[in-house]
Amino acid sequence: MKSSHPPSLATRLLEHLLPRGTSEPLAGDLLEDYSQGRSAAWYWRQVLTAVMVSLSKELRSRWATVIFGVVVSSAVPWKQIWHNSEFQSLLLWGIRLPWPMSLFYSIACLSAFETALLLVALSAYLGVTRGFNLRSFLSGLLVALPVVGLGNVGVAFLLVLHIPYFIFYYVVWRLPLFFGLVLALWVARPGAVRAEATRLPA
Amino acid sequence: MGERTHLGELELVVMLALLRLGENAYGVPISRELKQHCGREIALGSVYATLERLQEKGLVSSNLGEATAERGGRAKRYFRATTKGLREVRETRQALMKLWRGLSELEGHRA
Repeated sequence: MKSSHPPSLATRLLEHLLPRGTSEPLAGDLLEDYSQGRSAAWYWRQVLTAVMVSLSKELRSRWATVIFGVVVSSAVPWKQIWHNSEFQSLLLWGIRLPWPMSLFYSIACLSAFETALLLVALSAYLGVTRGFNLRSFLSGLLVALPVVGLGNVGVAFLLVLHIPYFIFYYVVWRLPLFFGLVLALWVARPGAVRAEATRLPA
Repeated sequence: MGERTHLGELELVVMLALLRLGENAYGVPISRELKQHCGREIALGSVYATLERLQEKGLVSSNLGEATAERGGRAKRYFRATTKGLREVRETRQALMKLWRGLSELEGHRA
């Protein structure tokens, strides 16, 4: 028997990933249609399509940010930096840590290094686009830090999957910095003006 | 005269659905109208994205209605074609009619 309530996870996704001016009436429309006999699979399809459409619109309206993120994250010569003996000795300061402490230490160092790069790139972007103010800078940074940290934990775990060398160095390793930077810029810079509905007086 | 804003296929059918529905044009009936007349189900998310694009072009306006219990307390968003939107649909129709005229392959239901 079909539940009278639509999948709550799908509704939450819709409410969090779409702008409020769209998510509220859209969620109401989906609920109205669902209560007239639609299936949970139909509901999920509708939600995922709405999220994808919204995300692609967001990406199109902020293409400059995405290109900046791709350029900065691609420009870092990770392989040369990470395998450089001077860089390694600078990181370890002569300390020899047992596994898995060495792994956590490497993740922390990598995240710190990427955060430093992100700080420079974020300041440069905000400076060039004349959008720099301390509050937007800090909020961008606050969003980016967990993305970079968790992204690097994910990258470390992907090491065991034997991903082809080229893809690992030139794609996977660059993803935390890319997503961290793009998210920081999205938060720090106001987005494109969206069409909103006016609320009629009661 | 203002600059023309060309309508895409989905934009045109959504505008026509809005005009057919009049005062009752919100997500669910618009989507049903499209299914009934175009024979294909278009996801509500795509319908909203099209409507927002039309609103950004100034062809459509929208306002939030009352929240109802059957919608979980969420308001309906009503859409309406603006004067500019109506003019755009009319001009698109004229352009299409000009292209249509004189095409013998498309006249008289011949295969």
